[in-house]
Amino acid sequence: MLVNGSGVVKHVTIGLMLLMAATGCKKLVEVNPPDDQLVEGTVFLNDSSAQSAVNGVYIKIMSNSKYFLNGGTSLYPGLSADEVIRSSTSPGEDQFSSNTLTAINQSVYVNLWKAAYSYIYQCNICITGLAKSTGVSDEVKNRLTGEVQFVRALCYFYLVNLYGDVPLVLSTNADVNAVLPRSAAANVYTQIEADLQSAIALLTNDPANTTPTRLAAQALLARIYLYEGEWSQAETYASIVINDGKYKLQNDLNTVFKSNSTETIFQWAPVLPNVNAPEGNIFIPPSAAARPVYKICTVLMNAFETGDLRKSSWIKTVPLGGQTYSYPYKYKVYNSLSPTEYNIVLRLAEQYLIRAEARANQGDIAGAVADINVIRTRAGLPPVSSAVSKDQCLLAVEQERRIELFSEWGHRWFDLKRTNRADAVLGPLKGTNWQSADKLYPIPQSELETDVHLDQNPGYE
Amino acid sequence: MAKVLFAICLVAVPVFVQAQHITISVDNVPLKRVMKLVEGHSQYVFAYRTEYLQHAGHVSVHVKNGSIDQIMKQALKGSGLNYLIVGNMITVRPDTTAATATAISRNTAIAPFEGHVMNDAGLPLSGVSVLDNNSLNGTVTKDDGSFALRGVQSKTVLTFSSVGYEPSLLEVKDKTPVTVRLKPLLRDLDETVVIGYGKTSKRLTTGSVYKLSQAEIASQPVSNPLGILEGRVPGLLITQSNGLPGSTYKIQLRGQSSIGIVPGQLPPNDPLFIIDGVPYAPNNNSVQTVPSGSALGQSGRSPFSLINPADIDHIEVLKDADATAIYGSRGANGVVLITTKRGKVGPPVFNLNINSGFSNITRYPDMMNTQQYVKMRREALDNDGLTPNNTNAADLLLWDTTRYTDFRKLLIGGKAMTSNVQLSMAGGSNRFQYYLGTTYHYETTVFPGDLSNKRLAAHFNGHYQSKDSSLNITTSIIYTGDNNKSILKDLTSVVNLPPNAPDLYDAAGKFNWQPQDVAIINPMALLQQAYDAKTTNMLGNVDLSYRILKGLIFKTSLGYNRVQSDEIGLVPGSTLNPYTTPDPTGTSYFGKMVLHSWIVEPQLEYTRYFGKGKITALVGSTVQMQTSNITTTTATDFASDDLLRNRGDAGKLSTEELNTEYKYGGVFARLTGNYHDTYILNLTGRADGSSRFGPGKQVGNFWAAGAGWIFSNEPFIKENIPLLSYGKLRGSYGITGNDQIGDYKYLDQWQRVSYNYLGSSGIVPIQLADSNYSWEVNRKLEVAADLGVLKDHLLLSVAWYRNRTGNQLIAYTLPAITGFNKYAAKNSPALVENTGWEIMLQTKNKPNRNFQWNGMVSATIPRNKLLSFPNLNNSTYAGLLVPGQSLSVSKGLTYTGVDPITGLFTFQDKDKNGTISYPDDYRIIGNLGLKWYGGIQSDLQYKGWRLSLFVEYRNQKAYSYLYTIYNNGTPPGTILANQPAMVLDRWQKTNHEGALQQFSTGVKDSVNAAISRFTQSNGIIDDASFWRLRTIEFSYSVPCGWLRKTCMKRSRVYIQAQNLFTLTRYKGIDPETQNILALPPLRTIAAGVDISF
Repeated sequence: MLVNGSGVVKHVTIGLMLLMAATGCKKLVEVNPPDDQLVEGTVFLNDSSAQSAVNGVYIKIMSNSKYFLNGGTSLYPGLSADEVIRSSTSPGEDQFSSNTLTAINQSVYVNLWKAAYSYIYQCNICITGLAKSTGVSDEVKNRLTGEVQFVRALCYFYLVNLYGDVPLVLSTNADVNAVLPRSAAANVYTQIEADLQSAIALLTNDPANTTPTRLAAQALLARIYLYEGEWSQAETYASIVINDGKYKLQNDLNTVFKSNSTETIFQWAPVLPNVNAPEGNIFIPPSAAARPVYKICTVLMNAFETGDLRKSSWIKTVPLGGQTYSYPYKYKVYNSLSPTEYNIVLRLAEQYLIRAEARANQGDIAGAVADINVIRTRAGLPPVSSAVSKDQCLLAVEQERRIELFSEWGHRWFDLKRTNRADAVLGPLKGTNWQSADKLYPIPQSELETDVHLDQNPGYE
Repeated sequence: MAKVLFAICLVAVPVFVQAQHITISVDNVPLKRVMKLVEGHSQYVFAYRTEYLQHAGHVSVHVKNGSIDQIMKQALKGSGLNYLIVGNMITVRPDTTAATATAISRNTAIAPFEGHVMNDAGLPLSGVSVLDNNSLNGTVTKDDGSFALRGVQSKTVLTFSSVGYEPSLLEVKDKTPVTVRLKPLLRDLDETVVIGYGKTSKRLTTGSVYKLSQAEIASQPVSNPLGILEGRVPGLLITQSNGLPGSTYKIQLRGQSSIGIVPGQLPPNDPLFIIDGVPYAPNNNSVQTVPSGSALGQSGRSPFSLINPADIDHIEVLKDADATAIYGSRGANGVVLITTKRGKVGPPVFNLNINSGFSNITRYPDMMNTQQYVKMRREALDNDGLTPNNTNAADLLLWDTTRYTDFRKLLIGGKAMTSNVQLSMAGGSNRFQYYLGTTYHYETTVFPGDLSNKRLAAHFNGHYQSKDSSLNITTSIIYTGDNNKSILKDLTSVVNLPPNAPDLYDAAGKFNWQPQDVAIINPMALLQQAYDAKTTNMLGNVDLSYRILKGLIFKTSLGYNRVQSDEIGLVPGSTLNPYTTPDPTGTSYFGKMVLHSWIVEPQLEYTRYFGKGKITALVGSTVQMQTSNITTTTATDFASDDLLRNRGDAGKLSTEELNTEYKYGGVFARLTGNYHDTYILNLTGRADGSSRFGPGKQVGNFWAAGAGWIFSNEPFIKENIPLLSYGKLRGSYGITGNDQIGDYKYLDQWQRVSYNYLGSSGIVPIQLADSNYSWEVNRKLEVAADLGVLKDHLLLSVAWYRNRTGNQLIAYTLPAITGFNKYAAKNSPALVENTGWEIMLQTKNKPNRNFQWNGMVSATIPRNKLLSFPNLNNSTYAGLLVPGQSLSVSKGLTYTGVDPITGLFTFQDKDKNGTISYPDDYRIIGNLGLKWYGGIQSDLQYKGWRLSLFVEYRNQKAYSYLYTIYNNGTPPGTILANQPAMVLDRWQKTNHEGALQQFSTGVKDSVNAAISRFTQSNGIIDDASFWRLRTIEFSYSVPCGWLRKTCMKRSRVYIQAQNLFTLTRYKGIDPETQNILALPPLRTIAAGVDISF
């Protein structure tokens, strides 16, 4: 009797085939995502979850005090310029006011740079997610896309003005983004314009001003053109906003920064409990007995004309321990249970000043002076004469911007830089510490270490 | 086709198949060749010891259509061997009677000769072969152990033999029936060892497998199976986290292999746990979910507190690639196989085992008494230049400075009671065996009050075998209910209350929170903060195997496991200090966890013999699914503390839910070749997929090769080194994977944020994922030698291993421009190496029938090394890891003693720049790992008396008690914090010397800075080596003769102790747990009786 192997082989083969069929490895290991979290594919499935994702952008921006777009963009450039100074020392923040920043400064890295790019990541993931989505209605898709494009433009505007050339991150692929070099500032501006033009096309004129609207995008675009020296474009967009009629200057200076102010073009509502506007929280001391952390520089105090109502309404001076401290008092609430002041990003007064500067640069002195006088009149000051030269007119605009927009959103710091007046104004004031290279903040050291394609700004190597 | 017919015909024929006709015609071939021919052409199989056939010459057999007897008689003629046919098994053995047969008188036939065979426990043994050495007639015992043999003549010698027992000889006298007792074989090399999807023996295995036997399990009064393994297995390091019932154990096999995705926190490299073929759903992860935690501490409650040690028959630990590769991506950190008890053939045996005992703390430092405390506080105030006032010295000015409470005694000085009642019934016939067991375990704590852990466990195991043994079904069901009543905080953490603290209750019997100026913790209030966990564990498994053809078996294992935990944590408002929490209201915490796991594993196994060789092939697949549902609720705003247990009465509920899913599938194959029991080769391969990886990365391939050479079977060794009874060289190499990084790490994830934007909710991305990551790959190499001398009475096993884990899953630093700082996980080429020696020496001696001594010494010398970490300096691991060093090295300052002038800790200024700063003054200050560890086991038996003990030893460095003291915010001198009396050895103004720096109330920057540096220096690292008498058991078994008068089959009384004493130079608390603010492992002493009837 011999062993007949074929039977065995047959059985083994059939068994093996059964095993393989029972396995189908790949399909077996596909799982559903965890249900308390969403993955990218499920976020943009419908209108409400897409709206939550965009809300997430706003909440994230409003969640940290002294951060990018939430007070940090007002405070740090204010310290770097000639607006405010600390009344006690703090090694990190003193580097801003003495213009001696280092690449390892934590505020430069965490509060500004890192925060900015985390918001940009959120914007990018929303933009790509909405574009790919089939479940979100067109109406919502357009509105939300326009909103986050506006936010992305705002982020890049501040980044390019704080740091100069910056990496232009437009996708969510970290492998690609991790090795990006810096893009020339001009390219960043091109992208900002494109985002805002797209936002203008996609957004409507929503009556609420707590999310970006078409007019908000137009107002920001007016500022962008001003910074780029595109005078007629700047004038055009500022005029659109001014002429629309939706926004009116508040007559009472004390109500300009209230959440129901009629001159607010765009503002973010606070999300942290008890917190109102970030600047209120930063500049106003918590109690009458407390020393203000930041005081207004003497040069700014002296820059006010006599009788300027803005000095009495927007600055508070307190005597404390034999000294007097003046601090920004545009926002009037340190904290309160139900907020009455929001984080105002764009307001009408700036549009008048944008148009004035644009007009002056195009030789329309009369038009420029008219716009300046709108602002001066409200401040209780006499009108300036239109019989001035272009240069005098531009200096008048600079002075008016300095007073009207002090301690707001780094306007003063950026104005001095873009008009090439920083060296002339800050050089004598800041003394030997001042170097022309200080106009740009350093690229954070840890970024240079993790992305070898980045390089440092001059003066910080 | 003829073959298949033959097989069918066999099924119909009962066990004694002697009528087959076989044709064999061979000339001058080895005897083994004849045996193989018989095996190949009939259903018979042979059983023999290799050495018996060594001297058998060549034989010639010519039988045509003859019986097996004809063949065997021809084959064994003149060989000095005889044979015995039982069922289809032919046992070949030396013919011991050949010389004496003629001398035995052939008259006085007694027929039939009857008797019983039983084991030393008095249980009947079936299937024992009984051979009449004279006539060569034989039979086997029945289910009840009885046999009847005809034609036995007086003075004939009968041989009784059975696998696993020593053969026994009996000279026939006139008396019948007789009772024969068989003793288990002392040699344990042939003991069955369970491996992945199969079985082998210690003798033949090519892989590294350690088996923990029933005896070692039963001798320990420990309620957690991991506690039982502690110290026993070379290469397996187990550390208890806390001395409370239900606490977790950290377990690590052959070192830390992963760097982990959280820098500075080495991940738990837990082995894979499989109970009766079912992966244990929680593995070694805590089953505690209640948001407020429990006294058990951060590591939570051990899932193994739901496994009843009394249900466990044995535990196998699989270590090297050869043993673990068949588990694929789950086997990187080793595999622990737990097998529960099974019934044995025989009449029903009832067993009752009752024990009871107590536990208490043994190592806890003396705390200062009131006099010392007051002195310390005054000195601290004085050092700080402070005038005592009601704020900085309330304990000195407002409290009675003569009052004394020993909080150590009050809070953790109690006796914890422990009781166990275990009842089982087991038995069965040849075809069906059953085991039914139930155990009740009760354990209290050393804390005051009525806290306990109760566990009720039931276990059923049934095994069915069809008549022709082609179908085997085994089922095993475990059900455990556990109720852990504890508190939310370990009272050990408040043992440092000031010894002059006022009465804990006021005159009205309420908690005393006086004085108002001082935020005191009232430990009696902490006792009211209840933690109550009810947990159930259901584990069921069916193993089915069917022999399709001779040699071909289809097997499948179907398993299910469900673990459910319901927990409550209560913080009544009355237990909060009303002066620090004005208007305190109660909060309750609810946690619910349900874990499900099921697994199906169909397999085919084929065995075939070729001449002296044997080949076994196994192919199979695994489909596993696991889900986890966790709901945690915090309930507040109750009208009264009395309503806390009812969440319906809460004014406010906040609930979080987490549901996850894990799927796993694979195919595996194994090919084992065995030539002449001398050369063994084992090849394993596995392809599997895990849902823990992203698309395209889910499937991986793993393999291993193992080889063994049992050189003691070689004739030249036998002739030249007769002393050597066993010698094996084995080696293995292979690749396993590690998918233990948690679920969903490959997905970009979003989560709801707690703030709203103008009333509408928002979600934000919380994780940036690299979907391209894959398993950590563990390349394991092992070389080992096993030697046995003096007939295996002395066994030495030496193994060297080298595991290299690459493709490390680490957090990967990204520039912030990507929106995140890091990828959740990404593979890095960083390579971690674990090498080590594992040495084990065992001896089994039985000089005479009354005395027996078994001993074991084991030692493990592990070494952990980070071989490489590309780009380490740019990663978040930069300050933590050092290439070329162990993962557990610590970087810090060099402590240089207390400055006699300033009275402050001083440190070496390495760069001599005048300041102590990071990183230039930092160096490697120590390796907080183990240098070597092991155990010593001794088992002494004289008649019924037995003394067994186990000593565990470790050589290690660890944080000293000073780390806790200086790192918890209340260094010596701080208000309201008592200290171990040891800290009195400090610098004082008067004598300018002392081991520790000046006392301070914590207001001096210079003192605080020195403390902060001290906790980052080698000043807080100490030698934590210890020798611990882990287990000692003393027992007495009542002699069988006495028992025969009762209905009892066996009776044993015993006394057991765990952690009886520890030898260590480590100061302060226990060298194992090392945390002065956590309850150390307890000493347990228990006594019991164990009766079978």
